[in-house]
Amino acid sequence: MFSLKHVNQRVKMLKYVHVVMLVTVMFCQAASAEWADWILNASLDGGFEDNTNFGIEKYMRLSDVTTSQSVLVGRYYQLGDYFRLSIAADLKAKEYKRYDGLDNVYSGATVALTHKCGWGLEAPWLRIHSSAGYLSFNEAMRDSWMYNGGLTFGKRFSERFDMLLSYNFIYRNGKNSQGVAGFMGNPFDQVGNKGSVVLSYLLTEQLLASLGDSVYYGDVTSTVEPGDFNTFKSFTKALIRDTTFNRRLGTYRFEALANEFTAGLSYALSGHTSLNVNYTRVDGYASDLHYYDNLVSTSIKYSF
Amino acid sequence: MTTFATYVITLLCLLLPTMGYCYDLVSEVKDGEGALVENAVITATPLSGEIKKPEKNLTAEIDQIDKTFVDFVTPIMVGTTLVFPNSDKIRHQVYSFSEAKKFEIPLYPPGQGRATPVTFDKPGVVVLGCNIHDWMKAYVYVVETPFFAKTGKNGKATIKDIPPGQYKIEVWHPYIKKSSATVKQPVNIGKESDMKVDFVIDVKKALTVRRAPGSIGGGVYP
Repeated sequence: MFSLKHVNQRVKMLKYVHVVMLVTVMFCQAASAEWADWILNASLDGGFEDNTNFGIEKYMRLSDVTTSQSVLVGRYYQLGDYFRLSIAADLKAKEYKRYDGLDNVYSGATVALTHKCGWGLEAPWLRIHSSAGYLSFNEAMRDSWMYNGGLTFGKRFSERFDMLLSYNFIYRNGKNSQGVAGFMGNPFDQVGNKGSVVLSYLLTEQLLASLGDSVYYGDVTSTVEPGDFNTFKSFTKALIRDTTFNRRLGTYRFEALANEFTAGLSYALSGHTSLNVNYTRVDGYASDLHYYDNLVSTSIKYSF
Repeated sequence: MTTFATYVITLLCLLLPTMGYCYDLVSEVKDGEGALVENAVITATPLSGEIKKPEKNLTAEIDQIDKTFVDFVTPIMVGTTLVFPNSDKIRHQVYSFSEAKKFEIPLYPPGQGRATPVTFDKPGVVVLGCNIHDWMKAYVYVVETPFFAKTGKNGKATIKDIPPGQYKIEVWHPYIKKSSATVKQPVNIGKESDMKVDFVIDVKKALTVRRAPGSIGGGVYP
């Protein structure tokens, strides 16, 4: 599915999307498109992850406690009655208590063009979006450029119930890693396709329940003991020595089909702020291998 | 002397109604569980059908503060012109698709007098929205009588200065159920026992779109 030609086509398409978005932005500036609102979203998260390295065997699964902060700042521009352009700068930081080599900072930009098919809160909308940014880790071998492009369809059925459907093409371009002898390629060069659905239902005026499920097909990384490197030659072409997890391991890339299920509850503290609890379960499958990861997190979110 | 005094008092009693003496009507609105109902509109319509046209142009306003319409319910008389100041630091685009008044105010910046005023020339319920912020919602209740008032948090409303006579007293609320008894008539304004008209109505437990961010996306239109 991910032949080099195929990936190149997708990356090319992503670049086109970026160019189109940038031209639209410039056009809007030139045409004095009216800005409508500010974008200011911030989040403080704390969580626990029981398989940070996507280890397959039980003894290889490494858990950790994480904290993260994110802020998205930008503006909405209204292009007529039915189109909205958003441009925002995105900054995220994530810290790991035990494996601080995974501590990372992401800085990037997001551009999205949304078409609303009518007026009113029940009118469906379609959004094309693209983002690019740099992901920098304490352990520099993981540093990567991140690109994302996709489509989201949203529909509100009532004051209580709304739905999002989205497709994302994800491209990660690793920068620094050096492959183990006999392996070539960087495990952090990754491509993937992700389809998601999110359903949200308002239980009370304050309490919103959400369920999300996504299917990802593409590259993921996992870790392996050094003694097993040779056995992985038939399975992967990208493997590096990795000391991030405080022990000698190899990190390798492989193609997997992963299902990610999320259930969340959100309590509105005000019109701008919410307190959230999420549980996420990821199940990945490749050949006869199965890995899984459980994540529990709480967060406080703010939206201007 | 006593006969003279009786004569004067009787004459005054007969003349008072025609001398423009007016009365206040007090109403209290509760729901089926006894809770006080805010934002209910009480109207008094003369059964004679004679409604005096206002001497000057009527105006009212609905502000936008922190991306919320203020007030949530605004009762006005037919012919009233509504202005929509924007007290936020961002822009709004107010619209209505209601039969009683369809309009759209193009995106407009913060401040007073930046949006074209809208005159409401038909009675009925007008639901307002904002094309930028989907959760924003408000109701304009356009009535044909000049005698109306809206209940506050204490569930009480006072219609002031009603000339004496027979009236139909009605209640309306944006979330009122059809099963509610909404009309009381005839009510004799000027008659002591009729100067307080209370209502018990059934109100739907309506939710508005939640504005705060959700846990995994969803929620408000981006």
